[in-house]
Amino acid sequence: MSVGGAAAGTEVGLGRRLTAEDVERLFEDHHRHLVRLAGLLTGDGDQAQDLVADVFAALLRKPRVAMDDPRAYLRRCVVNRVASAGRRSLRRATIGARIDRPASSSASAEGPVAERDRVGRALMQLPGRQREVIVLRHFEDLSEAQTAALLGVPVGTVKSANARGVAALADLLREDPT
Amino acid sequence: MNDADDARLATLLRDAAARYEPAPDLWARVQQRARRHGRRVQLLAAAAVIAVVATTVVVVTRSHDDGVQLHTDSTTTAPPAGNAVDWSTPLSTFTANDFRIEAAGRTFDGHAPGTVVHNDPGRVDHSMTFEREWDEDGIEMRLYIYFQSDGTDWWSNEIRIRNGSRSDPEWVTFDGDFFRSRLGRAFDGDLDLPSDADTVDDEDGPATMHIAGLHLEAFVAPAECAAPTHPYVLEVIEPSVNVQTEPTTIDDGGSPAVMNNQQATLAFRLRDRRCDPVDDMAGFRFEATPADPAIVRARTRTCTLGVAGGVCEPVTVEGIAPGEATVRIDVHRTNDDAIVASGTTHVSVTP
Repeated sequence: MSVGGAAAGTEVGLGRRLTAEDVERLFEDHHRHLVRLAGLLTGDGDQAQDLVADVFAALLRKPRVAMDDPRAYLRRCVVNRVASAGRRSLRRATIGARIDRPASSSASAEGPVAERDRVGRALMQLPGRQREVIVLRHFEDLSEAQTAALLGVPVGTVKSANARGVAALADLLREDPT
Repeated sequence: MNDADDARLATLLRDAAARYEPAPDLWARVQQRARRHGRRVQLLAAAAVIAVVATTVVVVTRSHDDGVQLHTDSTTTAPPAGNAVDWSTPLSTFTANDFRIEAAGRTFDGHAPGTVVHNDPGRVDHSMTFEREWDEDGIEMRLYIYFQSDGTDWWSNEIRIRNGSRSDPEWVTFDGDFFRSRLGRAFDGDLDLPSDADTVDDEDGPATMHIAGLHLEAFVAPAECAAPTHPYVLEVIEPSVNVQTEPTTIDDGGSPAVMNNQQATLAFRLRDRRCDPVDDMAGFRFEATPADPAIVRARTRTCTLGVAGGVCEPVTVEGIAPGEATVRIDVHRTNDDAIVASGTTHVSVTP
């Protein structure tokens, strides 16, 4: 079983506890992606880093046995922590999104940075479940069944949340042409 | 949504995610947090030792390796004079001789008027939930159990309770492998979840849950199996779905992406007289009949591409006009075209 993922290729036997070195390797391999995942889910870069730091700190202080699929395990930890921190983070993110939005658009504001901010803002205005589903389905590339299992909801809920979320995202992007 | 649209949305999200870069000192923060928590645990442990000396407390845990771990024991202890509960639903059985959650310095017994017990049915061969929510003396409490199944066994990989806080209720999550049993059979035993177990994933505890004499079964066979009206039972996985009348276009300034929300696929599972899932669907065909074709159109396909456990998605419904409609599903046996099972799904069509 690979703890560090394909890149690290470190083999750890099933059933043995992760060492601090194992956790550090997991961090090296996955932290950048996890920060981005948490960022999309919370809309707050600082909070995203805090959440990811908490996930790895928990691994360090309560060593667990090696997991079959580290990426899936870490993804679930991040999603659970985002849900747990949900209400506070969403309030903060919504306020932040309003403050961050430029007062007026200009030609110089166009470009990759303005574009990704615009998508991020739109994402944060979606209801939490729709945002989770869209991020897991289209950023994490999970199937409907995998998304349903991670969120603990029926596949039908994933389907409807995805459809509604995509429609709402389209509306929001139309309303925010900057 | 086609593959190109999927790819377009994925690109948008990847670009949006690129704004979140990890700080260079993030690993140092991780180590700092781990050390800080360690000191807090030492203080709590010292307090706990004092408490144990002062009072006689029986802690029913089992030690493994170098840590205290969760206790799930399939042999029932003598039933205490306890707080008996029966939170069974049509899809799950949950009874116990004693139930309590210790959190935020008090004991919650789970008894409250107007309590909601609910299941997300999920998929019978995959996942479902048990969800209980109640208000105990003005404090919001919840017990969620997430069940998994591989078509042979069922178990839980996650249990969540609330931390008992009146002003800031948060989840306390226990990861693990609980109650593992054969499908169709109940787990009988005790469950003791201390929040300092290795499996807990929580910053807001401590919170513990104790259940004695637990009789728990998930993925209980559908009621239709008890009194079938046809030779087979059609289990409707999604009793209601929502579709739209128009596709949705995402125009991000580049090439627009069209999302086809007009259609939804409906999932079913066919069970035989013994309520066992039918895995080989080659001898059956599906027929879908909307009650109002002006609102919903339906088309079917063969179900040979179903996933394990007999669940398949043989029907696609398409929204034509806003409104509500039912779609009747008949399953025909192909060798004599007899209808061997039937069911309905409710479709809401919105603009």
